[in-house]
Amino acid sequence: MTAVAALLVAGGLVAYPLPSAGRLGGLLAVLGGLGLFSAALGIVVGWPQAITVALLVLVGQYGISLLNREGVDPGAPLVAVGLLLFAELAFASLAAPGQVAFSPAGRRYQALRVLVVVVGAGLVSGVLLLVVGAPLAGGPWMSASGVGAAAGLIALLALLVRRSV
Amino acid sequence: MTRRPTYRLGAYVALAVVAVVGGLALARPELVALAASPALLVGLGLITGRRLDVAVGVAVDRQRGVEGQDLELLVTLTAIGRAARVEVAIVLPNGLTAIDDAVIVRLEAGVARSLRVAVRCERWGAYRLGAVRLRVVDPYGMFSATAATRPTTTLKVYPQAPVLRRLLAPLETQLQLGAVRSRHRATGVELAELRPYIPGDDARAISWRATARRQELWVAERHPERSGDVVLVLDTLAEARAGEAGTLDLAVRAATVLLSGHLARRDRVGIVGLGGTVTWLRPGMGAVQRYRLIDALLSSRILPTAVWAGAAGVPVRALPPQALVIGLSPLLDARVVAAFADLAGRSVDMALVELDPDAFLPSAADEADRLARRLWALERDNVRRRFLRRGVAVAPWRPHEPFETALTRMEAFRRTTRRASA
Repeated sequence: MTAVAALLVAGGLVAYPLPSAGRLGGLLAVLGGLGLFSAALGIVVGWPQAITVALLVLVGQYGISLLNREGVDPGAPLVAVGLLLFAELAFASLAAPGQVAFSPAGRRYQALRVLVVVVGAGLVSGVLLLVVGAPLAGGPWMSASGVGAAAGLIALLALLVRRSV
Repeated sequence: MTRRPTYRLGAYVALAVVAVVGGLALARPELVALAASPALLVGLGLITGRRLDVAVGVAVDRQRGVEGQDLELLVTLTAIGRAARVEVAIVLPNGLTAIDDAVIVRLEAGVARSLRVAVRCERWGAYRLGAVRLRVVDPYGMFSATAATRPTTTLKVYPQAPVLRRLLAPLETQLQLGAVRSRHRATGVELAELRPYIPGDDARAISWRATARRQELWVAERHPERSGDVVLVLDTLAEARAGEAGTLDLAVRAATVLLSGHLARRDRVGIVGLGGTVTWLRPGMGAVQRYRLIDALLSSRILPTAVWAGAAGVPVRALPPQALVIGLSPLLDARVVAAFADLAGRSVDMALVELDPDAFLPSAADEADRLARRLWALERDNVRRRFLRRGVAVAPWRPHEPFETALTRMEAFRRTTRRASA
């Protein structure tokens, strides 16, 4: 059930950028197919790394589709929601090593958690795009602070992962 | 608790990094917006997902139960160090079922929380209880932490023992007072015969009605009420089984019913387990003996083995002379059949309850299967007849029948042979 839902969401993510693809249509279709294949492989074979690859390919496909687009894509929060929903459903369909299935109470809790995650992802992305759309003057300092923030985020994640795992 | 990162952690870190780097490289804010949510989830999950230790205690409201009875487990959980939301599931052995489902509870640091879990005893046996599976429910899904505690307490579930209206009467009784009418004459309730008075007879035995009728002294002789020795011999060498049910279950149920009935009649009851190794409990009476016998029954297991002592392994003190020996067996193994024949040759009064294995066999698939089944039935019938010829009452007991049906068949045969021998 969750596996089929994950594949349907992945299909929606693949199809989303295709209508406005223009000359990149062929490349996007190939990337989308690759992402879908990887997702199906991960879900059917039970190989979580393939789901990660599928996520990255889908992000890449979406990123390339943005090359054709003028201005900010208003559907980006939907894509963010779709990506997280796909990941949550796909990982839920795989049993973690050494774990037994969740009880009905546990499954209800997990479903609620996915719902909150997905809605939260949509809100965070939407707010971020609104901030991006604010009429602020650009310039080298702004670019440098953006690069610094991104590098800082990656460094923070790396630090936390190293400390926790 | 064993904590493991979930697959999500790696995937979301990779997603956030690729999206941020891609957003910077392509100068597209949408990609950065895609990276924000997974990065936030990872960050929150890593900050809050510390190790957790939970102290678990399990207590059961009683040590003994009967099949079909519900009992309550009290699970006490204490989170050490930090608060957490935990999924609690009781791990029960086969034969016990939890009426309540697993639950998710929030544990505050250092505060004990108690849960009551209702458990139904489905099948007789001795169970080790107290295993609890715990799983920390991580709201961000970045870690899974599970733990399982070991069983700490024992629960004994006794088979249900309906009261029997009739029991086999031993041919010979013992000296102790009981409820079985002895064949001998002494002080008792039931009249045996009237005879003329002989000097030395007890004056209380004079039947004044007979004396008045015959104009001379007559005395009434009576049968005393005595107890008998009953030994239940369980075949623990072979059984027919289909899933959870098998002939051993029938044997244990029959033995429970019999020992309860005979002990209530003030008979001395003992038990012998006829398996690879012979186990026994000497005949005794009273409530303590009842618990001893049932505890011995609960540990009955079929152990297929080449080791075989046979009836020679049964000690003499486990089989008192003139005891009523009731064998409970599907008569599947030739060694057990030989052992019962050997026991019948001793100075004991023997009866056999054949626990019908047919109910536990799959239905015949084809004609060859049906033919083999018929041959097998003939062989078993031959075994039965051999016992009957030796004066041993054999009666089959099928799972759907009340046990009294088998007892009635055996009693009828014993009455006939007694009359014939008289």
